[in-house]
Amino acid sequence: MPDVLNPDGSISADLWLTLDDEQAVPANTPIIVSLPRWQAQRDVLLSGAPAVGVYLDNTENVEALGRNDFDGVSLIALNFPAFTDGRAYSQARLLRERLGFTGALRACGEVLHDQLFYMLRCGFDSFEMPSNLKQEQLETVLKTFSVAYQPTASGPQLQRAGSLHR
Amino acid sequence: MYKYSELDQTLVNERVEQFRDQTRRFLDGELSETQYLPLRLQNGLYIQRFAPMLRIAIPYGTLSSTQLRKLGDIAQRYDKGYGHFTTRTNLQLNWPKLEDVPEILAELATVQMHAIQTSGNCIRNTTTDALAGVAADEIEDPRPWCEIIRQWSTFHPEFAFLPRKFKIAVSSTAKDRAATRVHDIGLHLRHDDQGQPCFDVIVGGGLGRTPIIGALIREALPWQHMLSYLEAVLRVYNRLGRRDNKYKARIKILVKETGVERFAEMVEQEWAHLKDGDLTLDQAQRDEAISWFPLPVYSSDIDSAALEAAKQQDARFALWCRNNLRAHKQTGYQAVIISLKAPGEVPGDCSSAQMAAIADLADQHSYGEIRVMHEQNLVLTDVREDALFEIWQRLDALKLATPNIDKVTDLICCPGLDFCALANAGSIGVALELNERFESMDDLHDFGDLRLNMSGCMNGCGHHSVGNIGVLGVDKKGEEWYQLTLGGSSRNDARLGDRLGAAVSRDGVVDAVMNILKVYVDQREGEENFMDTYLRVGLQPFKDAVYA
Repeated sequence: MPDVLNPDGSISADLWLTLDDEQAVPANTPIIVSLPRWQAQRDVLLSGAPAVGVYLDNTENVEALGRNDFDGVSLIALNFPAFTDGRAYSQARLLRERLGFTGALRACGEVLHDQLFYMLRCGFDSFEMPSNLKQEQLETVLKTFSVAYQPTASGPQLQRAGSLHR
Repeated sequence: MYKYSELDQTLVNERVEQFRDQTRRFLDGELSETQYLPLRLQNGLYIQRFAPMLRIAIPYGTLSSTQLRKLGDIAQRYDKGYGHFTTRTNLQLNWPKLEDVPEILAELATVQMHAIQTSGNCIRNTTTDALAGVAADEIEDPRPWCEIIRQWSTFHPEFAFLPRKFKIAVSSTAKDRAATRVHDIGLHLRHDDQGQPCFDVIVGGGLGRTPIIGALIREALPWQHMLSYLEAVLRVYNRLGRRDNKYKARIKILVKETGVERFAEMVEQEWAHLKDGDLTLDQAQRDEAISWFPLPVYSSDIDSAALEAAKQQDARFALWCRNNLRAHKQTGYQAVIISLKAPGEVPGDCSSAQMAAIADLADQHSYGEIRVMHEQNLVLTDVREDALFEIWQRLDALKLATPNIDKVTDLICCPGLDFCALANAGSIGVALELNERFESMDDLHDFGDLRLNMSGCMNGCGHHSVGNIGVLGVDKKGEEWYQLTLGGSSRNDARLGDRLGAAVSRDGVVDAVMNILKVYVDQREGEENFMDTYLRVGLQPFKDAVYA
């Protein structure tokens, strides 16, 4: 079972199972499904699994979705196909700040040590284990910066400096 | 000028430590070249043809004497004793050692400087008029707004991995001196009907392979909404900008492919959500930002007659005054442009000794402040007229008083093949040779304003597309050739240069430029400058002369 990194620097086992659209829902396992499957089978999924998550491609137009589209969703997985592809940062902020999504927001794909700060600031609070992260770096990796200028949906341990020294 | 708050200093110090760790991990083999690349780029560090190149940020071109002295000192101790001022008003060091860079950044942090976001696909250094705060024709000081943008854009978590680099320029004079129409976003600061500051927003301009003049997408944006509107533009770009092809990834391509009207609509839709949110600026913030840039206390006991007398006595000084001074808001003061385009020198280069001497001059005569122009010269913004003669003498002794500002030898030039890994052809050599030829011409100073820009490749760092005369280095079967364009401009009359014809060889390029100038001199009417003559007579006479 792979690990996930939490905002406090702790590591937990990833209990979530990502399903293909054709795959049956297993018993007693939290599942992550595609957006179309979620939209089509919402009630069935919710009654069949202890928790349901949804994964979104980074080309998905989050803005076109409504506030209620993710009611019942416990986790949204956003994808970084390459760490240089920053589209999911915008998706994360839109989910948090516009759609008011309060469940877990997980960064998947090429998640690296050096991008965690930006991810936290955009509202991610769960990370596929960064491939380049060493055990001894866990202490400091999420605390690289103690201040920031921009008001965003930032991670809980960061000081909210706001803009312009406010 | 702006002084760091505790927040600014903390952020920069933490950045130094982060980069020290990243560089150590790279040197230890923990980080691959691919993983290290975007990290070093966001700290302004390129691996160039011969050595790493470090680009140090100079926010909106404003430097204190302490900072300039430190830059000279760093160039002396970690490099070859000189630095290169760029068209983004930053300073490049061409030969630092990779392992020294964390220490260089640590030293920069002690004088409130850094190299954050001077490269990489993120929001770069915001530029403005080098005469901000003193220009006689200024509507309002753009620096407080530039500083607000600097803070907002620094480590903006959403926009650190954009499709491509992103450049913002702010102009606040009727005569655009910040090239805003060839930026990803150009902001024109002006006053609305009620006398309140507002911005005209121009989007999608740019140079490089596909030069485009930007389009106006919003008029008179109230100042309170400056940041939320910028955020809306950037969000649309981050989501929809092309990532499949590096050469089509700039916002100008998105705007072009989407259509200006549709793009403006998408921004408005996004902005409708952001408007009046957390990024809204209020009067207290505006007042605070203005207070970051206190105006100097000017004197009124200036002996302007002394200046006139000195001009009468020394023709070289008089010529320098005519070409290198700019009108100041305050009676009795002038802005002095320090030419970094001396004959025989690389355009934009400045030695450590020169930096130290300029810092001293700024302390003695210009309230300890220096500006960098995007044309790669420096400015002392607040000089008493009765100090000009002494300053000129000292600059002259330092080879910094070439009387050529906005003249043909004040050319903009990229580092070219001599340094850059991307270049197809040399630009510095051609620049030096052109300068030599111009030097021997008696009527050089009668040419009027004429901008000659030169780039070593299509990426266009030398802004050739908007040169009145543009020279672009191209590679033809391993040989260096040069494509000429005429009639480009980055000012109010912004337009892209027209291609003259087939590229000319290295041996022929200097002659070709001389022929172009000859046609201009023959064809001009009265005091007409090159641009006006060109627009009147068109390409043909120039073509005939060059390809005769």
